[in-house]
Amino acid sequence: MPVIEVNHLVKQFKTVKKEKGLKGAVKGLFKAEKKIVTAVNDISFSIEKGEIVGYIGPNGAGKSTTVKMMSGILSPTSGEILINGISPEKDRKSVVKQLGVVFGQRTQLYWDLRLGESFELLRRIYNVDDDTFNRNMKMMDDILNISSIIDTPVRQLSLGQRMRGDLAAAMLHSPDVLFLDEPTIGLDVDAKHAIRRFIKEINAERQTTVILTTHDLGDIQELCKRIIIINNGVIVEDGSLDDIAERIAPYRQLIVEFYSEHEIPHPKAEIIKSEGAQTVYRFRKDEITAAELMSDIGKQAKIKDIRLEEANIDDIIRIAYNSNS
Amino acid sequence: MKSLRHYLSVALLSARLSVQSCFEYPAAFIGWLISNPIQFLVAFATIRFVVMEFNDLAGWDYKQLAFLYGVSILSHGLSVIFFSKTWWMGYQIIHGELDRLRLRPMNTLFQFLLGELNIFGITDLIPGIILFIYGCCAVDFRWTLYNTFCMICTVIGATFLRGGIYLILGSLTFWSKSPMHISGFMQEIFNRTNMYPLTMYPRVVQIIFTFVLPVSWVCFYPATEFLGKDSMITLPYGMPFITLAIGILLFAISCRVFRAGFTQYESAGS
Ligand SMILES: Nc1ncnc2c1ncn2[C@@H]1O[C@H](COP(=O)(O)OP(=O)(O)OP(=O)(O)O)[C@@H](O)[C@H]1O
Ligand SMILES: [Mg+2]
Repeated sequence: MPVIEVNHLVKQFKTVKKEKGLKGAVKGLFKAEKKIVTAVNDISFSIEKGEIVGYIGPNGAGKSTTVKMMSGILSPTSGEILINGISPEKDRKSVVKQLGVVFGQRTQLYWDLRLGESFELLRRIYNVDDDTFNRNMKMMDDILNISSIIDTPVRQLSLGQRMRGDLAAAMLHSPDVLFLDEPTIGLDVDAKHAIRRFIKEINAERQTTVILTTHDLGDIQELCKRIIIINNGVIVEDGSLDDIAERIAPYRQLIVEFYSEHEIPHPKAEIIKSEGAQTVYRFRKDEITAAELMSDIGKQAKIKDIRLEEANIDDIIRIAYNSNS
Repeated sequence: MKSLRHYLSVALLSARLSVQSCFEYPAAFIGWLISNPIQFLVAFATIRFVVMEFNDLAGWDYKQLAFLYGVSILSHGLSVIFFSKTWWMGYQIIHGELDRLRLRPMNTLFQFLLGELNIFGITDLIPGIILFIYGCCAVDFRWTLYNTFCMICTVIGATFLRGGIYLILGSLTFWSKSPMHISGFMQEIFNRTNMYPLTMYPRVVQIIFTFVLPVSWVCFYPATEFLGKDSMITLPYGMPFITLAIGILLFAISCRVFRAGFTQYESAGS
């Protein structure tokens, strides 16, 4: 049975269309024009235990809205969500017991409490026994170095420290499923690294299922075997990064440097740039191998140096993002 | 049973942490501690001057008015501690700050009301207690078992009555999507109206504050019984119990409204 099942999920927000300026504001008091925003438009997917799934898409695509529905904060307009077979809409309390949720943009900790006090309260709320609590705290401390910030009031923590606190808080009750909405936003290289290590480790040790939204493609490359790409509320891709690349950008580039200026065409490769002694060929993996291309070209001019480039992840993502806008 | 114990232990820990976090802001606390009682003392002095001018108000003398005000402000202090978060819940709703309540495996209203107490409300409660004691002494309130029981019903009922109305008003933002500051205004209505005997007001106002917006049940009607005063309604006894009943009823309604409102909750875009 999949851990998470989402079927034909839709979320619409009713917003009031505001007109500009004071005149518009006054007019709006009497005649408010309603506008419906469809943030999530009929999406379905299912996720198995122990997967780490990157849930990505451009700004406003509907990622956070999906996460909020899966974690019981918002009710779907239509469609169904099942977490371990239970609907968060129908039995929110049972579902959220099994969830850890982190929003990078907004802390779920208690602003005026020390981090340790927040943990104490959460432990009481989730009824975590001493053994589990201590074991989890130790693990969090090892990876996230929590003990150095445990006595600081949450409002005084830096963004990176706060994020570590939020992650630890989300893990206190050993949830099966972790929703991380932009957990690396605004973090420096070290902090990002710590958080990625954290995700990898809890996934390996506890089989925790992780859904991660991010704009950092490094997170994706390092963590996610599977990515789901959403755009304008619709899923446009779902699969491994390699498969998606294969499907939407099955190109490689061969950069050849000759000893002098040459421009040697090839029927199975396109020259996309030629500058001085250097020529860039783009070819499809399924049509010709790099070795064949190189030897064909080498027959006509002497090659000094070569470099092979895969389609860049940025490009792949950009193509995917543009496919439904 | 187990879940009741669980809820109780979370409530107690939350209360302790609320006290602790309040001391994170000692300057603010002291500020309130000085300014809040002054507000009530000024109001109290006003009563005194008015009575000195007119001898009595609708047949209530100074001591009786002190008692009336004391009972009112005591329930005010309690309602500030437990319910004042409803005054700014409109902002929390439109800014999506109630997400957390949905993420924790406990009742949302429980978390909302008892997860964070407004300990600053102590600065309302202290003058409330002082005025209450003063008022009781002034009219020589007899602390018989029955009277004590009636007084407890009055104060608890009044606290829930105030809180229920605040919570209903605060929950309206779930639908309106823009915060309305009626609750602060409502608090003024509660406190100002109950400074004077209801019988002083025109008859329509009396009817409104008795049957439509039951403001006068907070202290006026129970006080008529304690002090043997006349009012629009004559009952041989039982006013404090009506106050308690109205309080519980309004609170029960407000729980429903809050629950219904939360189905409209839309969090915030970011
Ligand atoms: N509470 C809300 N009320 C009205 N509209 C909303 C609300 N929340 C989100 N939206 C709208 O829904 C759409 C999707 O928003 P969402 O926050 O899910 O995007 P996202 O994919 O998380 O984007 P980002 O990468 O910028 O965080 C946007 O058009 C947004 O304006
Ligand atoms: Mg988002």
